[in-house]
Amino acid sequence: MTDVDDDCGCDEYGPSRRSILKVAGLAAMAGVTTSMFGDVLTSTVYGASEGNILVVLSLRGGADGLSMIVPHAESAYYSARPTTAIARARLQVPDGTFGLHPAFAPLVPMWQRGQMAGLHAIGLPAPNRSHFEAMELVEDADPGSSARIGWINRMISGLAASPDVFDGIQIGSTVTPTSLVGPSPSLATGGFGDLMLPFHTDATLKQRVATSLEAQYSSHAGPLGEAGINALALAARAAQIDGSVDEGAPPGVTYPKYSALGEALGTTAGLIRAKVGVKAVAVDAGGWDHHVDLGWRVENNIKELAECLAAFFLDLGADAGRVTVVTLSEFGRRLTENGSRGVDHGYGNAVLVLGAGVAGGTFYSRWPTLGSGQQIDGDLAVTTDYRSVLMEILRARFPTLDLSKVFPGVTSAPLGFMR
Amino acid sequence: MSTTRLSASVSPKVLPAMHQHVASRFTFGVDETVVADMLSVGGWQQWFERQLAWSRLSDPHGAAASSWFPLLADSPSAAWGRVKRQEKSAWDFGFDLASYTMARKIVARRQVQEVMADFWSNLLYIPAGEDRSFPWRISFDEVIRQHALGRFRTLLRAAVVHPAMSGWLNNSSNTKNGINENLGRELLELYTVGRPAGYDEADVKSSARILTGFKVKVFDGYDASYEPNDHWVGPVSVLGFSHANADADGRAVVAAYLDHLARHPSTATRIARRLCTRFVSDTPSAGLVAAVAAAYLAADTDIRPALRVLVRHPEFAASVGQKVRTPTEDVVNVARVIGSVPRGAAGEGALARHVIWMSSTVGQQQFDWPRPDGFPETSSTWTSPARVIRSWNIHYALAGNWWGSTDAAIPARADLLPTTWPITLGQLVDHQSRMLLGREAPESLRRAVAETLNLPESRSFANVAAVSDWTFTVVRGAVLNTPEGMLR
Repeated sequence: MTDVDDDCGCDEYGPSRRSILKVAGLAAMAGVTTSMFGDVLTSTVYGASEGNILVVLSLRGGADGLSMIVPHAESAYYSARPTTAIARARLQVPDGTFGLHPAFAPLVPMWQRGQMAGLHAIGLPAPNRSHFEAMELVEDADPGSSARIGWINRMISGLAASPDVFDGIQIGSTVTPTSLVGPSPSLATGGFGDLMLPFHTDATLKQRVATSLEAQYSSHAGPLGEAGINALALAARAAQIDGSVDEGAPPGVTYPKYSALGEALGTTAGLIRAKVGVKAVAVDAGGWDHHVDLGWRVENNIKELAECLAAFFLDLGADAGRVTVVTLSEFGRRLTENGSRGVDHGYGNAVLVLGAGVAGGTFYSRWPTLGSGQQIDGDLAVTTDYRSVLMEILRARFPTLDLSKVFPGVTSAPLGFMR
Repeated sequence: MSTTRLSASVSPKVLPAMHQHVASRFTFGVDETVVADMLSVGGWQQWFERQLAWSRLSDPHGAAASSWFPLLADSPSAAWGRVKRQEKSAWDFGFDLASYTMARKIVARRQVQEVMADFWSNLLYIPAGEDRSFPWRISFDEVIRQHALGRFRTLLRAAVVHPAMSGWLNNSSNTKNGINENLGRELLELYTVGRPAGYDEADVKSSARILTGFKVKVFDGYDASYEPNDHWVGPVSVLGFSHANADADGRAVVAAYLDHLARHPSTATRIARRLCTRFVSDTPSAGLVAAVAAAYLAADTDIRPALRVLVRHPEFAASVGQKVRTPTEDVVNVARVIGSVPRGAAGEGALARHVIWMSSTVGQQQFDWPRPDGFPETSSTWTSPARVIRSWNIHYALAGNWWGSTDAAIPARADLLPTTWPITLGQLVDHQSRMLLGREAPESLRRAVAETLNLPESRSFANVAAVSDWTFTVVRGAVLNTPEGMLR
């Protein structure tokens, strides 16, 4: 598999740039990062974020955290899962309590360099075993408000007075996830080459098309009128992106074949390398709903996830120092196997954090244990609110952000996994 | 067609506003056949009734569409055999089913049945080409279409225990010795009462227990059977339904349980809201939802009275312009109104296959949603700026057949244009607005198209030949790209 040691330019990881900026008193000054990037676009896009980027990987379907980060010291785990438990001897980087699933092998070099951490017993403040409600709750992340505004949208709103359409993007699925819904502009796209206006290769004709569309959509009442005007702005903005974004990974970087996740992360890396000002990227990694045959299915999923992420950080090159990845899933799964060698919907879950700013190479958890008195309805309990995990990341990577506006009413309980 | 076609006139007839509104919401595109049918039967009410009585409406093109996809005739064991021998993959079966579905939407005369088949397929959603269900997926599709305009409880009984559903949501391995909650949970949450009904985890367990016994030999011939030995026996209770469930053959309990769910007021409300969201607006009033739900319950889950109440409600009439076509609906609509109609599916370049990739390009692919909740019914989901850009592009591509689609009836320009010449550019735009949008072209549209072409509206065309392919494509693309071109 890919060796992420080679030339990944990862030495920029961590707090170095941020600290330097802080020392110089420049952190909040717009334009600072523009000079770092050299040339592209407006400076205000970058000012508050210091060029840092958060990638949120959604493991759709409810990933089995107990397979990802195996609590190998728990006899309850082995007795509840007679056909799908993973023996301690097979685990990667085990400590006294946990070990990574063997299929995480491609990420072990990052783990050993301290660029990846494993968190456990993370989740929603109360159990919800419905995929769709749980996803909605995780991504809205503001149960006190009835407004449907996603937490990434609130994050984007907090980082710039007038956010840019590329600040918060979903790459892969074209259906906007709840996390991105809200007043700040957002974009859900597979790529960037198909955001051009008709006849875009003919400047004169393209302009006539744009003018006539603007006249019609600006006078059209209703959401389609607004969407049309925003579409013209988006097309103009997309035209500024170098065509190289969609061209694929540089030589030596290989994503797994036929992997939608690999494609989405490849495009994400291209976008980040193009330095067009993105701050948060949501990427879906689907297919974690393992009601049957957990063993080989979760192994395949983890292998793909690990190969994709290893390739992604290599693909980012020098820009890896700006990028932090966090995995989220709507719920963990039941401790006890069902009748299909699978696991039904559960509660507490594992989270992985990789990349810039991570104090990695270690597992972090307020581990509740799997003792029968500790379980919630047969599931792993939650001892750390997932929003507290996100706050810990945002505080380290986006220090100017007012976290009380992103996650209203949440008391942060840091695990210490960020530097 | 050439003697009676609407487009022969310089000012083709358009439907009265309410007729156009009903046709636009309850078909996949108001083409010449819809206009002619509606005018010939005397009004939208009569047209709607004839569409609801679908079995008496002849539909040779709709019926022929499945024959263009030979794989779809495979029995489940034949389909599995092909995959096992590595002749074909599950994906191939899924792609054919998706192409067939798109083609049928374009060619069917039973449009209301097709629209409702789409509605139920999205509620009782199973992706195409999924490993555990693909050999049975076409059979499931037939079940949906058969019951699309009937009683929901009949549809629910046929769909929930169908082998495709058993494979997809793992009921095939849900047995008394090892309960698998997947189908039991989604039956409550997605297919019937929904979360607001307030069921708990004990209800979910009972629901799963009732459903034990339906076996499918997944990855091994896919034979389907009922196995009393696998059925969980003992008292069950879900949301007011209780049963001793003492018999090893639990199928009678399943039927009674599904009837209970179909007749539950929460199911009525949930289905009514979904219908109103699809056919009226993203934010239907509580009053409208209650009226549709009441009709559904009064008719013992028959969907036709519910649709009659919906379409006659003042909120329906007032909702013109409030629904945006999904990418799939957009592509199908354009194919219908420009008159490009699949006549087969031979080869990768067939229009029936291209339409899949076209809608995928715009942001939605038939039966490709990965989760059991189906594509969102809300228009807001499909109103993003990126989607609008992609629709603008695909409209031109379809209007000009830029993809070079084959195995389709694509009319010659002469058969799409008036028989009386000369006409001005303004008249040409109006003509195409009537044909493609079902309405007269306002001055703003005539001006917009003229500006795009950089010609005066008064520019005169002497005959068909004077309207070049290029000019015609730009006129049609620009007409389709007006906001109304994306609304239904």
